[in-house]
Amino acid sequence: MVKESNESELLKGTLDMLILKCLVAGPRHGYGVAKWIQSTTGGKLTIEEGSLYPALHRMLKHGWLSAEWGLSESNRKAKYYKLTRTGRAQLKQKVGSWESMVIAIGTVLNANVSKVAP
Amino acid sequence: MNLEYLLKGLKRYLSSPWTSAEDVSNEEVRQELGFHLMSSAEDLHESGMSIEDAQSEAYHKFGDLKKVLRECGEIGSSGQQLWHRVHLFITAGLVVCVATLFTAQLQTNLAPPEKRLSMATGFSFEETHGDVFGNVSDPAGEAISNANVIAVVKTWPEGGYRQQSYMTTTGVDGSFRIDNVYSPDHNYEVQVSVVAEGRLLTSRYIEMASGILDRFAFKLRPTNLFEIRFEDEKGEPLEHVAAFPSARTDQAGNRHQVYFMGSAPIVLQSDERGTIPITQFTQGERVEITVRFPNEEDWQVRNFIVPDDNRVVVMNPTAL
Repeated sequence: MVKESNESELLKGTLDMLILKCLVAGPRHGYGVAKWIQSTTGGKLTIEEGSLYPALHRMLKHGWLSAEWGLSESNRKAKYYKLTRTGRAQLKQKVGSWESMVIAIGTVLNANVSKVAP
Repeated sequence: MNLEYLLKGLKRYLSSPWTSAEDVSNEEVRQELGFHLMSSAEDLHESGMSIEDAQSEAYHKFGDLKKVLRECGEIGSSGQQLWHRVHLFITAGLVVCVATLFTAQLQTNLAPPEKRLSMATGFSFEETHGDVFGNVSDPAGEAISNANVIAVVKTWPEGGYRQQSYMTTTGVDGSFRIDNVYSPDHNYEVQVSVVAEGRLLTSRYIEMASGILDRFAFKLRPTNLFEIRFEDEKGEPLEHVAAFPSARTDQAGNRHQVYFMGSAPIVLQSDERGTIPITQFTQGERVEITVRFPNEEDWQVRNFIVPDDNRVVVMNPTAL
């Protein structure tokens, strides 16, 4: 799903969080989500673009997103995804879990390595 | 699964029953992915790539298109699959019900006529040959014709209970007959009530009997007419109140009654003055009428003592 960049590695289960975050600012189509992730991370994070769609459809089924067909900037028919109230709550929960995990990992990485008495 | 998603799945399922769920869902996904690839190729072309290279790079960046189509199709059709399964389950259930009913009916139809069961008694028609019969007259023995005779018969077929009402009127000679209403070989109970114009409501109850019933002989005493007037809270007459005489207790303490089941033929309605003439009771007796006021669904029982001086009895919806 994710191409490893030189500077980062995406943990499993975070794609949903990125998509939800992307849609906070307003509805986007799938290509727009891919471009937003690419530009926001300055190219440090690249995602196999196709992998967005199963994630979008899955979140749509869960009720975290709603979808509507509309016209794009180029006047073509496109499917726009929008964050629902449930989706906002999910984003908040996922961000909280992510932050807790980052703190925990950071604690481990910063710990002094010493011999442990038997 | 989200309710809105489920309902959309149902709508799609109902609007395209001849198309597979996967086809309907995949067509939309193809449109969506097609937009993505086209937009990606355009952007790459604008950045300086040739059209062919831009298209190739767009597909490369996208990844395994078939896999994405398949995954999205599976996600999209799962809601419709649920409705498809529900539909199949209901259809299978209906087929089983129809088959069961058909088999039961076939068995009934194939049985010899005399062995088929009477719905009224629960016993076979062959067994249900007991009649309720008799005559109605005045105390002097003069026949009373056109009297309403209501019979309620209770039977206990194996593992069950049946109660059925029958109604007839007396002939010119005052006789009545209701055929084939109980099985003499099994226990039964019978209530026979007679409601005649200007005659006391009279009934007789036969408890737990078997064998052939004796002839009923009713001698009905004459009554005095009195009226019931129905009024609302403001004293205005109430038209279209439905009522019927349902019970009386005679001076010997015997209760005579009409079962609610079977009372339809003797129900009266109040006129524009709000009155109903009652001719089946006599002065001084404690009686019951069963009443239903306009715009109400339920019937209610009202007790009173018939006044001695033929006064009108007034009733309104709120009084008890």
